Amino acid sequence: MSIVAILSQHSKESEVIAEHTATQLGYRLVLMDDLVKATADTFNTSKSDLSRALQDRTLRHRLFPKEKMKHIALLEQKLCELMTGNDLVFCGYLGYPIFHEVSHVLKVLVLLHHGYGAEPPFPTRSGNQVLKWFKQVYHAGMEDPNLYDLTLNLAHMDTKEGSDIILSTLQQKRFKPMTYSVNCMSNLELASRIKTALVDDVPDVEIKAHDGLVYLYSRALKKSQQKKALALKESVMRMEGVNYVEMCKDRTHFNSV
Amino acid sequence: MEPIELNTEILMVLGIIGLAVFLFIVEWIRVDMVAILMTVLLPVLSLVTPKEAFSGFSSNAVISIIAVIIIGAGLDKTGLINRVVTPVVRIAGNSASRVIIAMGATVAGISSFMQNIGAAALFLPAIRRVSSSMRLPLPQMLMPIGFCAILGGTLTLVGSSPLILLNDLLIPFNLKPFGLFDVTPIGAALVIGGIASFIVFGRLVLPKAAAGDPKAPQPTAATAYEDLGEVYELRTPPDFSAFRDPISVKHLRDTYHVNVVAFCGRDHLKMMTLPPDFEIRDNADLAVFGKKENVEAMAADYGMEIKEALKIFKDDFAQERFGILEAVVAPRSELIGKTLREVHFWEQYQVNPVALYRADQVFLSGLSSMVLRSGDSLVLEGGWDRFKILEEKHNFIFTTPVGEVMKPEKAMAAGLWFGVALIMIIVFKIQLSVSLMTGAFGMILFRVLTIDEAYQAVDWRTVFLLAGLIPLGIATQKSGAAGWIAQTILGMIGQVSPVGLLTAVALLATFFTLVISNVGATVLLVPLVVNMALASGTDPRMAALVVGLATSNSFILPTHQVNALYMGPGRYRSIDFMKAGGLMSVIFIVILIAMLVLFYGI
Repeated sequence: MSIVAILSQHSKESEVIAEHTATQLGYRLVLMDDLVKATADTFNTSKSDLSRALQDRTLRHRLFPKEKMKHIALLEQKLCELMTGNDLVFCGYLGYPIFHEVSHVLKVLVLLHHGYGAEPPFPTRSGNQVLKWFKQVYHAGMEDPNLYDLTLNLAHMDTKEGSDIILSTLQQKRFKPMTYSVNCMSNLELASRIKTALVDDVPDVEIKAHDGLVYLYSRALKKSQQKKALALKESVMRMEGVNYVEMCKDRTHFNSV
Repeated sequence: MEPIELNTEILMVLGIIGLAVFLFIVEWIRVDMVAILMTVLLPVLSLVTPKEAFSGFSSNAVISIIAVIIIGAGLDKTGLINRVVTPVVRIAGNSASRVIIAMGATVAGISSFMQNIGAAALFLPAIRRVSSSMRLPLPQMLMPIGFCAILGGTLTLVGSSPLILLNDLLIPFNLKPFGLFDVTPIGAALVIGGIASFIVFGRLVLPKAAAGDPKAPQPTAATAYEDLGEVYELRTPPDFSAFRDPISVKHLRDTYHVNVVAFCGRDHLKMMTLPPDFEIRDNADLAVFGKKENVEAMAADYGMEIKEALKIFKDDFAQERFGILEAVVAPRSELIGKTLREVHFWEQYQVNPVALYRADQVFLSGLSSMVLRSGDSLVLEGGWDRFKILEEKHNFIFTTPVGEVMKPEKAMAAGLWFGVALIMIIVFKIQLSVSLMTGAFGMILFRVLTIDEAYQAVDWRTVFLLAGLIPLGIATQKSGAAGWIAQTILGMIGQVSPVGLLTAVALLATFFTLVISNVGATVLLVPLVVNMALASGTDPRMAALVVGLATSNSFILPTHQVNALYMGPGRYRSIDFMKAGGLMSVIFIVILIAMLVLFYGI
């Protein structure tokens, strides 16, 4: 009843590991393409638009940043929905903030570094784009090992060994769902739903949700825009599962809730 | 007349009539569904041809009903009828009797060309205003005027559905149809009689104001409902949410009968309406509505501070932005049979229900889970812009004007086409349905109302009820069932004078209209009483007319739409209707028969 999230710029190798792990565990396997397809079906959106949102900044996204934010919000919302069932192996590069909040998700980074003194591998074009995209969207280095529970370096092992390590790590008690972590998932699901609803109006909105209490923060929403803030608050109040909404006036306030 | 033998066809028709009456009474399915069942069952059993089964939809009665409703909606939309109210109120002065006479006569006049419920709803806000400004008890005004709205339906042949239907039902008997104003003398006498009965006997039959409080304050739109409470401002302490389960708006309403109507949290954004599940948090300012003792109890239990006066919310509760008013669940409301929670009332409209009046009971908690009924009176709090949106859905009739989008500039056009319809009927003797539809078409053409507004205005339930029951009348006559029943009843009661027969018909129609719809009663009884009249040597047209008029004699029970509408605001109980309605019903029949004798020489 766990979730494994495998993030990597090396899609081919990490997908092999994910597939093997899912087969051994009998879990659902969700790759980036699967996520895009599922999101397109659920929200009646174009697959090509969603795929474009997962690329590094295109000219279109420089001109229409809201569109990219909206599509990423949809993908994250779908990911949250898929996670609620647990028993999931995800492989891709989206959704890090979501996995970070849920303690029973095993976060795995797959690298391909050849070690001390060796020349670092020439980054592939697509790999480079993934790293840039991650930095741009999540403001963090994707290959920062501090963000993960487990780092696998495929320069030192093959994919099967990597999968076996994942399987044995999953036996640890902390990667079993607990009441608190399940609660966190439903809070994240609520927050992702709200974000999808608001991102058109306030692209940089950040949301925290806890048992129906929702806290919103947006740097773009100035103090003078009280009417807009109130309208946003009221629209969130109408959403299912929301019992209270507060607009945080600054980041300090938002971080403290 | 040849005696009619009971045969299979007659038995089948009698069975279907019994089924229809049974379904009308038990209300397992809606009345219009019963009517549609007839249109399907009768041709299947070969009691009518398929053409006859659906002839109702092209009948003069149905077309006339549709046209009358559209015309009424057009007159309403331009405020033409509202303009009548102000001078009437001025003429009435400050005497209760004069008010009842003036408003009763006016609503009767309007009801003669509009649906009774439309006229009654139109006058409801005016009656409330007059009642509050003149400090007259509302229950003593509403019922008399409501009865006048029903009686007004007997003034012309288009005043009520049974009368509109009458001429169509006479066709199989080759009887001369009635003219538009043929019933006016009788209707006028009924209206006068009705008003006079309340002037003379009103204090005996109408509910009195509360003892020791002869001029009990009546709720108004402008002020808070004094009998329910006032608005107070409170502040929650810093540890309000600590170590306790979340406190929601619903919890406070159910526990203390206090409604949280506004909230301002740490973000200083004021929410003026709140969903039932909204959680109250620390260091927040609330505006609550409730009785003082309840608010104090709540504040004491939760350590809230009651402020001396509204501070944060002072400007927000200015009359022009937010208010409290009463809305009556309309007879055709989609909300009937559902709860506010089921229809996601707050999510749709963002107004707070504060109380629910049903008959003489008031409910202050559990409002979201109460199944709504026609005539229930909901006290709502919210912004006037939200009330406007709510009003447009036509699920409620507001007892005070919300500020409708009227078209006063189209008043002349509405009046013109109304006049055209009347001239076509009276001067050129053109058929009722054609004349009325011309008037309706003209109003739409001149944009008094749009075609979609016209469609929305039409009460399709009544249309289907009429159209569906007409074939039942055809089957009753065609099969000989009507003749057989007539002969059987006459056989039982023996020879009676025409007055005796017509009185019996009036009583029968009064009884049937209380248990099944007035249209159902008319369709079933007209063939029957015409046959009885023919067999006993009484004028069959008069017998049919008695049915058409007596089916409006629906005062004893609050089953008539007008009575159901006024029940909530008037805080009436069924016993009030039985007392006043019982007297009214007797007076109705006496005047009806007397006028037939005097005017038609039966």
